[in-house]
Amino acid sequence: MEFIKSQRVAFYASIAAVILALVSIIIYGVNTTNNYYVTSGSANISALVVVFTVIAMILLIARIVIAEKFDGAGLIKHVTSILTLVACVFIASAFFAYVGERVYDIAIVLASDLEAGNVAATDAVMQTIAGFVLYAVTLIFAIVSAFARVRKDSVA
Amino acid sequence: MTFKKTLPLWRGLVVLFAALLTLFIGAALIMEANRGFLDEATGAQSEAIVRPETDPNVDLYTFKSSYNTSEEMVKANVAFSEKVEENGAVLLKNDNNTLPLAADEDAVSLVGKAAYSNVFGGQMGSGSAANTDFEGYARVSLENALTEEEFTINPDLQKAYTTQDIYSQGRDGSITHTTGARSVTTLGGSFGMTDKENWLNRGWNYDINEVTLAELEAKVPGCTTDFGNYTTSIVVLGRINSEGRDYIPGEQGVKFTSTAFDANTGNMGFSRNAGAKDPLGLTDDERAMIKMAKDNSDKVIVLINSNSMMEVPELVEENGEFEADAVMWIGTPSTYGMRGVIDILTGEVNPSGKLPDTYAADNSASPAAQNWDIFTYSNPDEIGTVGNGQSDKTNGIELDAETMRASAYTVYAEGIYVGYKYYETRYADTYLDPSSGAGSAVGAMEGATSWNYDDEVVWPFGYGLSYTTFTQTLDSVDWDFNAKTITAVVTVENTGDVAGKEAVQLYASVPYDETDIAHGVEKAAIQLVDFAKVELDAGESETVTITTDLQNIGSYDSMANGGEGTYILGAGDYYFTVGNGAHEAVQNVLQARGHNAGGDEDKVKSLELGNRDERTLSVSKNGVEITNQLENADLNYYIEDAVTYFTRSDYTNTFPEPYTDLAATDEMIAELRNIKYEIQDTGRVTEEWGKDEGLTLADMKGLDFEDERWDIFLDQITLREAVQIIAQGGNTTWTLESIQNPSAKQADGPAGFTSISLGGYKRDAEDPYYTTEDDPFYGFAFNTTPNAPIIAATFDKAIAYEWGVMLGDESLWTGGPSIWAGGGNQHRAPYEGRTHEYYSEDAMLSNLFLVEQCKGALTKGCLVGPKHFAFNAIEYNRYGLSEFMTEQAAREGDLRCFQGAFESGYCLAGMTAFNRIGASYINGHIGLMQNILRGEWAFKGLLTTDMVNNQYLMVLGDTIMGGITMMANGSGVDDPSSSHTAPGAYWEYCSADNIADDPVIQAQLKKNMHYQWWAYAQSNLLNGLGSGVNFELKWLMTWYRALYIVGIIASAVLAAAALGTYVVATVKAKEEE
Repeated sequence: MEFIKSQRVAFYASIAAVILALVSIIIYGVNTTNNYYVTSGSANISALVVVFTVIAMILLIARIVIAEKFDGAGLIKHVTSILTLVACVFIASAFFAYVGERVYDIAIVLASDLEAGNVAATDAVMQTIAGFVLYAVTLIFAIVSAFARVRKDSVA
Repeated sequence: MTFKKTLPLWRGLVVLFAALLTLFIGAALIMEANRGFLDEATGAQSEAIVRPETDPNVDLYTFKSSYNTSEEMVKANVAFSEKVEENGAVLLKNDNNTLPLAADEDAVSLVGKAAYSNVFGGQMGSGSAANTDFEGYARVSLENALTEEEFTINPDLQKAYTTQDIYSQGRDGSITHTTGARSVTTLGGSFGMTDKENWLNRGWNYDINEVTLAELEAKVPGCTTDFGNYTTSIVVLGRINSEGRDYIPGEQGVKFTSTAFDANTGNMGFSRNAGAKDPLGLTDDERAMIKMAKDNSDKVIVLINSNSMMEVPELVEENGEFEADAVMWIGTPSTYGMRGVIDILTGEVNPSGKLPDTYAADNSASPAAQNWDIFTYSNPDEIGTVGNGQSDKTNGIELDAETMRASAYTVYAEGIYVGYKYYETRYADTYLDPSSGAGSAVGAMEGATSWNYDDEVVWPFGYGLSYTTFTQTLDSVDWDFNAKTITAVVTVENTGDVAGKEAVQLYASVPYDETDIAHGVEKAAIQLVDFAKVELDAGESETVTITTDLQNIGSYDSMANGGEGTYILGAGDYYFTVGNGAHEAVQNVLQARGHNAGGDEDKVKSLELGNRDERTLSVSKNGVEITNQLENADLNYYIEDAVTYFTRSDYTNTFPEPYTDLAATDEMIAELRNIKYEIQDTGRVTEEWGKDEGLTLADMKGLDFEDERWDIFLDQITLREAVQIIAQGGNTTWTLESIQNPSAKQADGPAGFTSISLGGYKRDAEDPYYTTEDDPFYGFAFNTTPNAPIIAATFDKAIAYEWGVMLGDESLWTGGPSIWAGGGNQHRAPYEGRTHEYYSEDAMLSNLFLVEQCKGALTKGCLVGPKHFAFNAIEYNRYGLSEFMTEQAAREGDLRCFQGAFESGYCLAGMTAFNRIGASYINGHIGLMQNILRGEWAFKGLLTTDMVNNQYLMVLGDTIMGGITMMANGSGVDDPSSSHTAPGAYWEYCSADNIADDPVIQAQLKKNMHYQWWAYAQSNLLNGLGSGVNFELKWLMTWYRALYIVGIIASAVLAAAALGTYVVATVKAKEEE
């Protein structure tokens, strides 16, 4: 109970970001292997999206662990700051790698009449957009965590 | 507040701006990778060409437009659109001189939803009509065109038709209600593969959904029973065409199971197809509206606003309930062609078009229609590699049959008997060989007890009426076996009262004998050989001479020359004749052969060939021996006696049946799994790459293909560049560092420059045709020409040539040196979704039009690339569709459509198809792509695939080996993994590194580079450049660049500022402690 009481916004925001990142990457995997993309031959899982997201999750968790173990004095607060910064950069990078991979599909399905009336195509692209939104929300939570402290008695 | 407490704030700001910086950099990368599309879609210009100072007396702008200003160019385009329609629309019925309309017949009632919502062009793809709202040049509807000519339109009907309730279903399934004119129903389809059950479940069968009389009455009571003074009715029947989707023959194609919204019941799922036996036939609602017009009018004129041949026997049934007084086929007139329609109605122009396709009473009864459906292999699990331990041999991944685009097929059991070659041959055989079963009920229209031509065919191929009358006399015919030509002399006289144009159609009937039957060779009883068009004043006559290739009457015999196969001329009598269509022609021949068929034997000349000739046509114009190349296109090659091909010698027992539940054999599966060419590793590579010779493409301008400087030039290209320029060849050919070529934007056709508008890719400010956004015609789109069937219906080579020149001018004013046009594929059946893009059911009509089109365009340095080579006949499952046929059907059908252009030397470009030939990916079929196209026909131009949207079918290695010079793989300039299908992942086996020790593919790469750059060196891409005069690229600011640059700078500055503040706060915090 004491542990919970001592946590601050960054703790919850970071946890949320990690969970959202996990959901994002699952959605990404599901979306990439969506039947429409598979049958249209564009179901390639991007190593960049996966690696960037996983690294970001590890960094966010590392920040929490470090902040919990140390009081944030000295170099620690800088280390946690850098971890947060790099995590956000990786989430943003995963996001644009994902967008870059699917921008052509979105243009085909939503901005042309090539797939007009094809519900499977629309569903696949809407799922893609949902994935984008998840990544964007993940990024927002990660950024929010940078503005706050993990623990009441720490600046980390 | 202490500095320590502010640290999280500054840290947060650093992170925020760093994240934004990352996003803006990402956006920049995505935008730059897709700038070709962005420029095209938004009209932005991301680069310019800067030329060095040159001698002002030397004009390097080699190719000149026929027009000096953008206004002249646009006006010429508009006028050409109208001219094509005037010359192509076909008057099919004109009882009692219903047309032309008298001056006082200017009050008309427009009937039918297509009268108010015209079909201007294709629904989707490259045959659509442009400039819907371009200021001063907006699209002209039938209503607009009538109003321009001061007709008045029945206001009650107009109101009733244009205030209908329209319910449309959004992408998310939501229903939107509006009021307006109901559109001609669009076709359903998808980019993906589908099986029949899936197709039905998706509700893609066609709902004709004509406006009912009750719906009209609901809006304007009394409008259906009293037309007032508007007693001339123009009824418009419309059907649409589209890329990626087809009609399905017969009742299954109109058995509607859609989830569309029913305005009457508020429920999902309804049908407005009552009475229709086919999507191209009439519904009861359409019949009712024709009846309404008849009941309320003095004259009923029906306009058929469709490229797919509709089934309308009701319109010609004498004294029938729905008989029209006049019928005119107008195809799809595109943006301005409706003016041409009105010109014909008023008599300002005398109609002269001839049908490019047969109008049958029951399309679904034709031989080709029997195998026009969605057929999928019965053993997809064996074809695919998922879970059966047979993963892809090159990349080691598992794919199912659909993903590798190997699940669907079609069988051309009809052989050569497509369109009129079926109907007229069967008609002839009722006289020539009744024992063949030609008159039997087998294959007759639904419900018939025997096959009767007059019941089966409404209007024959080549038929068309005029407001005047002509006589044609075939003065002489001769052939020259040394020159391999046929020469016919025909005198045409205008025997009527008004001036007009007439098409001279030269037909041949070749002998069909026991040897042919034994060899499996089929011959149509009549075939178009060539044509010409003359314009004559009343009473005037003219003699025209037609010289055509002997090969045009040759037949392909796979068993000739000891089984090697070649074109042959059978022994016997060859009959030549002229006529207003194929039916009149075959009647003439029958009459000359002693049958009382109602023909004119005086219009027939015959020549005799004593012995079967397997030599004269056995060598191509290029001097290459012609032998079998497509044996594995025949399903019988894989499965003995799998197909019984249709023969005119036995209608009863060989009329095609659907080939369903076909199981692919192991040999077929090996082909269906796509990657055939395996990279070699011999280490004996002799090709040289990446040498520094100092030549640019500009230095190669206009050089002959054989010029030895090409070897030096080509050695400069690096191996990586060669692979990449093929793998990422569309829709822009980017600049290669080694040869400094200007980038080339490829336009789509075939109805005019579709993807680049006026000024769209002009980057050289000194270019005489450079236009900027302040030009009032900047952005004018040129896809305004009536669709291909109407062009073909002109039967006028001069118009085909003029069409080519027009494309050339469009090329000069848009900046795109090439266009994927015209559509060469044969109309196998009226159900083909892309009928509007292709010329005709007849191979020679398509052949000769493509030749003239390419010839005209090349005068302006425009590379016209006919498409889709070859056999793109069905849109559903076109990706990887296995198309099985005999070599004769292939060579005398689709291949003959393209042959003239590719063989002529005027055609320096081409686009291939999505489908397979037999089980083989078409671009990887060496027999077709190398031995026929590049070998027999000596085609030396550049060649692109269609849009790459499946990396597993359109594999890089086989595509290179097939002689393809560019793959239409559009996104990404430098990074293969950024493209739509990420072929970089799957095509890695064929990367520059992995083929470094493969001499075979490197030799082919070198050839492909030669084809590509030689073709560009002949084009207007090098206008303004020349030997020693090359360009420099100038980077231009665009809206999207401004966006990301501002974003990057702002976020970088703010991030730096926040970081600085964070550092200061950290120091101060330490001081506080």
